[in-house]
Amino acid sequence: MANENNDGLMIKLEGIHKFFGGKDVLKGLDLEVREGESVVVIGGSGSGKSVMLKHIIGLIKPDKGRVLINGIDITNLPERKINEVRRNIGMLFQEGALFDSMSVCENVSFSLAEHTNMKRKEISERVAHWLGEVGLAGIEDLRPSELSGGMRKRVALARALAYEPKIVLYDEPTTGLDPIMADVINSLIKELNEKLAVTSVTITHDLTSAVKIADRIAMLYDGKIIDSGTPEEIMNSDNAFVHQFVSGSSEGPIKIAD
Amino acid sequence: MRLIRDSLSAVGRLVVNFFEDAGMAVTLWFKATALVFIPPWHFRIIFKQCEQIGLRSLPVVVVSATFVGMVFGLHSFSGFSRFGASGLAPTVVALAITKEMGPVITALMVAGRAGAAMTAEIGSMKVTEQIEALRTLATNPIKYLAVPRLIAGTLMLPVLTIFADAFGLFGGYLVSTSMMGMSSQIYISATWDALYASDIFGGLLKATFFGFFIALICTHYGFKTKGGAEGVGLSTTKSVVVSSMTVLISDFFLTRLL
Repeated sequence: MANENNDGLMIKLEGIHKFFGGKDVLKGLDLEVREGESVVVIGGSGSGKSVMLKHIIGLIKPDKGRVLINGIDITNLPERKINEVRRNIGMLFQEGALFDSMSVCENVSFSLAEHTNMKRKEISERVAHWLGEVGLAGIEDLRPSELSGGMRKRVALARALAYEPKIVLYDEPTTGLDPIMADVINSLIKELNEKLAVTSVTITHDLTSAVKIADRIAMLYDGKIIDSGTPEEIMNSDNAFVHQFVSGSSEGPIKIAD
Repeated sequence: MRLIRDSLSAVGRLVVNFFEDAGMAVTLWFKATALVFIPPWHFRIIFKQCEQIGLRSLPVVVVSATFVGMVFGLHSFSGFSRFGASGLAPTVVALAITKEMGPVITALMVAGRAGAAMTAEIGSMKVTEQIEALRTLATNPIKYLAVPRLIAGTLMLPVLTIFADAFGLFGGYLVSTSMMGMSSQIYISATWDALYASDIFGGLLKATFFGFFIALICTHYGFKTKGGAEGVGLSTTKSVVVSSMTVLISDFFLTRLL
């Protein structure tokens, strides 16, 4: 990946506007993520967090604005060029999105088998390594349908990391998990982020998770980032919107979308 | 007045939907064609699809073709013997099977079996974010999912049709000789005289087109699926109805042209 002219920024979203079905989802969103930083974006359901995340990996193109990944403007790149950028990005989907026609091993090794000339033996070593990293050694031959929700997420995490990306995106990593499994996932994300020195963006509405993972928390409301700071700053923010969100109150300036 | 307006707008919607789907399917065809020539080639997946569409459909195709041949034998024998021309029955059976019934029965069976499976599989991948996951793993879903199915469908239909032709002729033979008392030698030599390579190849060529149409329509509806399990059901139904109708309608035009 070209590294010049990135100003130390791994991800830069510049004035992103996105309309969906006659609704303004993002209204000039700006977000900058430095190399090696872990940013958590919080916001209510339907606030456009997922849409924002999908812009970073080029699944959605903005109607207005620019997306820069490590200094490369991917906004108007053709799919083939974006794919080159995507090889440095891993994404963990909310429900895991494991390929259910394949075994766990085939899932984790997908990008290695598709994009490298690695030998079968080498690939299976790498798969074993990553499954070990997420605490699921030895389940290569299972099918995704045989896994619990927490296991699916961890296998999906192994799949996202197997190609050793520089950027990892987490879409609601703890949603749908019990509190203990949620903490397992949070610890895993934190540990791997530090160990692999990746840049990461996580979207969530789980504040425990946000505080644990984040170097910096940003809040998305009404299509824009309205506040950003360290976890302590956000938890004690005077911004009325942020305060209402972190205190979990239905009274306040945030209108409930219908 | 209201009834007229409502029915007109319903017709209008149908027409618009038809052209929208046709346009999307043609776009899919162009994209897939462009991607056929770019590596990596997924030979393993193409092979697997050939097995899925070809080998696994063989029993259904063979059984249906045999019975269609038998019914045809019954009808033509009893019909022609009314004016003392029962000797023509083998000729009519041979022509009808190789030119028409073989390719069409095969196509309808494959549409109902393999086509439905294609739409259901791609459709459920779509609603569980697996298609997006493919894209995040720097893999083009059209190349990975549509191209192998299009190749396999186009290759396998003529192969299956050869079997359908053979078993259809056998069905006619069985009925005429065992139930209608026709001499086996006479039946075989009459069939042999009636068979022309051009008729058989014409039928196989039609089958090739049918295979392509079925795969294109069924993958298109798969990719277009939205709205959870219900959506998968809807688009599977649609793909079977539309691909079966396309087979029957295009059959007329292909017969006229070829």
